[in-house]
Amino acid sequence: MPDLSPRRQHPAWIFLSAIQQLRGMAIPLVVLLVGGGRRGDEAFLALGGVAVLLGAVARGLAWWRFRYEVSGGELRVRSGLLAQRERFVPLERVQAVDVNETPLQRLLGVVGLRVETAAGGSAASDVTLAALSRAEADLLRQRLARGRAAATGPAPDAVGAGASDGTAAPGALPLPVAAGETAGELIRRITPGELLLAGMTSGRIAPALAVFSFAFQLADDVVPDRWLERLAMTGTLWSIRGVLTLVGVIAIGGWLLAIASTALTFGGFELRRDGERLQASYGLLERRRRSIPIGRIQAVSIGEGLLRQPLGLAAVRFESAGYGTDTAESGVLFPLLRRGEVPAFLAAAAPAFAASIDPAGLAPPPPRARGRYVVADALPFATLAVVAVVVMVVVPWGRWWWGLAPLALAPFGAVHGWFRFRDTGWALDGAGRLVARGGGVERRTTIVPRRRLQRRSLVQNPLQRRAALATFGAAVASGGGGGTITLEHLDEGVAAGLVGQLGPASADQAVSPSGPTTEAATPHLA
Amino acid sequence: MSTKPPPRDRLDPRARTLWRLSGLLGALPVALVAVAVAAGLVRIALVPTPVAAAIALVVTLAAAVGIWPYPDLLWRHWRYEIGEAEVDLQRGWWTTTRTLIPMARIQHVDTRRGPLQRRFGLASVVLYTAAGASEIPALADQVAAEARDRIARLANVNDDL
Repeated sequence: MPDLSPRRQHPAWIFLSAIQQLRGMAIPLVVLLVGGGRRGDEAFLALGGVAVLLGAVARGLAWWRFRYEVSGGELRVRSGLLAQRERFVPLERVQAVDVNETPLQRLLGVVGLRVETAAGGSAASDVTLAALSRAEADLLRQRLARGRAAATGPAPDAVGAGASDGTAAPGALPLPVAAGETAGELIRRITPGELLLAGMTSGRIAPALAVFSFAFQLADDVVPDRWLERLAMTGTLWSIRGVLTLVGVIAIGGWLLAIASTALTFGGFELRRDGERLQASYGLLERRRRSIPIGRIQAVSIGEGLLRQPLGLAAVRFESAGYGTDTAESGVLFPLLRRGEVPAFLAAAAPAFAASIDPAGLAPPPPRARGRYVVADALPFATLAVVAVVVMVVVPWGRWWWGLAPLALAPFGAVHGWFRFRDTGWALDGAGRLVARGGGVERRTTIVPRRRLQRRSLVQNPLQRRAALATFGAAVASGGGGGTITLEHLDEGVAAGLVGQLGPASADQAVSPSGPTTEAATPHLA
Repeated sequence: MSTKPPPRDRLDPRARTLWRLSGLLGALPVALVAVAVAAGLVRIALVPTPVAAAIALVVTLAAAVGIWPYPDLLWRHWRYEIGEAEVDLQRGWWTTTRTLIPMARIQHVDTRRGPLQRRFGLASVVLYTAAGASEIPALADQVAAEARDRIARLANVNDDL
């Protein structure tokens, strides 16, 4: 019943994949067209034409050879022009099914579908179908879910409901609606005000950097060198006022870009709960829909960026075995909440992680650890200064004291270390959950149930041994790199007690981290 | 360092000889390159001969730490214990790291024998969890096989990630 006979994607795939390939060559093409028009280009253009034709044929054949089916409890994908490639994914290994919709896909009337597997962070382990008609995508999603339900036992009939609700006409709503988006009970939807606030406090510089580097590259490629030279010669570029203006323009432009990119990425963010699955849909231009099995969530973390801390704002993320770190937003459960709202939000979305994150309930590292945090973060600059002084002594044109320049940054390192000390804390609650908080530029509180911990570790160097301190570490299964928890410089007795209490042999018991002195005498392992 | 007694078992004593040998194999090319570079520097008269000789000597000595005393220190501080509920690993002479891995989290276990290890009749046991791999290096073949079988028996196979 849940089988699906072998079939191909929508023919629009040929066009989409061709565009994808061309995108990498965009800048050379622009340069070619702008700088073209000389004699002898005819042969070149003919060659280009032949290449494009061959490419189109190859794309067409690739589309022809790509078939997928659901049978025998597996998703089977066969592809490849010369070397046949077969990939069989058992349905119970499917972590999540995401539906994406770029403007181009919407124009062509197709959606993209991505099947995440548990095989780790690399995109290579996932199955991507870039062009399916809405009906086909719904059908496949439904079959994958039903097959998985049959393979893993009891499951709510929520999947069927999801498919039947997803027939909203495209374009009928102000936001593009991905297939089956309205299934399940709404937990929270982002408001325009929250979206704006999220953009203003995001501190995202990646989009700005991308735009500026693209602009510089384009300027370098297209604008004649003569102009740039003249600009440099007139000195307008290098006066103090010029530099300040440039910095100001870049900073404000970057901030506006951050707001815009946040709005585009997380616009209309909506989290729904559909039985044992969470459905997150978001994006203004490209509408994404992520389906997250609640039982697969390994840990939840609450991040408070530097700009968000004074406003009491936080973003909630999750760690799951399937998701990688390929995109910045991949693990986002909700992009912006008030800190006080987090427990209620978690109680509705993922009750197993609804621990108290009240800072007053967290045990800090002992006061004697403070200096270690501060020194550790300032030390790299001092080391750099030593190296720089040596280099400046050796090179003939240098003065030795030039090498001291990195020391100017050491105070920032020290402040960063002090922030880390101030933010670090932990608690072990009655339900056997570890709540660990770390700091620095972003304050991050991680909640992980004891049974999700894959390993615990205790690290001690001689300096720590002398001060009776130790560093606690733990790891959860994670597709990305965010699966580790570190609590630096705890009292060694406290850290050892924590390692013991989080082990399989100990009973679920509450520990009230009332302070380092009482903790040191943890009776548990004594 | 902790209230729980440190793990009981040590690696095979032959591990020291094995590591010394691999330390030698690592140090030889470093020493050769250091001498060659020093000779080159003297040749183009960039540095005086004693300075070049001193640099070559220091680099060679630093590489030779891998032959002595590092293998002995490493061996002396490596402990492991395969308990009913957990695997307990402790290692490191300067920085001591103790890692506990619950049996229920272990997904599979390998024994591994490199060409050098095979000469000495040694093998490594590698444990895989969903959060990465951990290794017990250099056990006698027989001991490694027993450890692997014991872990495989105790590890819970029904666990979902």
